[in-house]
Amino acid sequence: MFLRIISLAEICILLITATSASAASHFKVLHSFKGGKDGANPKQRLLLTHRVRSTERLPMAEPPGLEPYFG
Amino acid sequence: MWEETVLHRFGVARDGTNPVAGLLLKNQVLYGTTLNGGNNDAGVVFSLDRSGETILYSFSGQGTDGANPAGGVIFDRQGEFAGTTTQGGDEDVGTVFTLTPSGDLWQHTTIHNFHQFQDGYDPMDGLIMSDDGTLYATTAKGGRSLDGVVFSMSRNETDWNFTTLYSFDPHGNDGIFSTASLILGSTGLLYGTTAFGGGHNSESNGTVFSLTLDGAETLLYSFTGGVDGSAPMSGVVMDGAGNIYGTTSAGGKFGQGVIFKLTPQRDGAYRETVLHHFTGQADGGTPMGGLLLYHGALYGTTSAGGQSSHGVVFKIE
Repeated sequence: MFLRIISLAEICILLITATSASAASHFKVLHSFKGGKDGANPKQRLLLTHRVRSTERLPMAEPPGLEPYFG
Repeated sequence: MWEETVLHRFGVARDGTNPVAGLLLKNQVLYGTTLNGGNNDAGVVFSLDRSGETILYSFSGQGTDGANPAGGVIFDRQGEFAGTTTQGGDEDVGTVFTLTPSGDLWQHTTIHNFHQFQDGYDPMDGLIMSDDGTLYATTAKGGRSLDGVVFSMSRNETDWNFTTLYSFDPHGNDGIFSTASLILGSTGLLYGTTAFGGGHNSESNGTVFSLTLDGAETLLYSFTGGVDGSAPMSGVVMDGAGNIYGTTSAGGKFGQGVIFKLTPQRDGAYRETVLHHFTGQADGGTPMGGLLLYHGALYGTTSAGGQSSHGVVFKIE
């Protein structure tokens, strides 16, 4: 799954993708914006989707409540 | 490990700029708004898919079509987009609009013009929709006391009907200046926040409130501006047990905001617990966006702090 936000200062839409399972923790920073091409100063709610990397093969089972995004 | 991918950079040619609202995903297409940019620097509604971005509508910045949307868009029951603008319209204080598909184009319709001294104005976030198709949102200003309202828009066969459900009252313990969208809880109530006001008037640190669909408000929590947080600028989320979660943009142990939880008590009151005090350092600070609740974890962003002082994406569970 991945999180998608729009960041204001760099004015871009970006993906934050889970590339492996992260260990459970109380509070964890998933991404720290650098203020360059990766964007900066986000002020919006995240959108959680199920990322599908290929349109040719749909996932066998989608995480409940998540709409796939092909990208 | 989490990896970032930039999908689109705004601002080229007549593209929109300053996307301050969240996104909508429908049928593998992302939809959103920008506050500025476009043909007239009055903002746009856009879509984004694998083939790139499409500008669906560019606000004129003059006339009655509205300008500068700060909230996102939703799909209403007719398959139209519905959204709000912070400016434009009859008195240049905002509108509610729909975009209807018309061939390859989108037909814009202003379904409500805000008026400063009547029905609230300056909606700072987007709409939500109930199961019966009624739209609900807040305005930061206007209404009976000029401190913002909660409004609804319902539709009959041909027309949209605007109703001011509740006007925030600065003279009592009520909150004022709601900048966030609402949620419709499993309780059948609307839940939202105000950035200021509350039971601690001299500090005016904001509130969390609920509202029946016919406009009866209950104040759930008033922030003191101390370690419990201050100035919630975004809305809340609710879990299956009725607990309410949100962020404040200020206050807390380090003055950089908090993640809070409101737990319902047997007597109907809510008890606040701070789940995290932002330090403004590596963990971020000044959260302005709302939380996302998924499988028991809360996800969010901060507008400041982090290793480069440009904000972070965080998870808490």
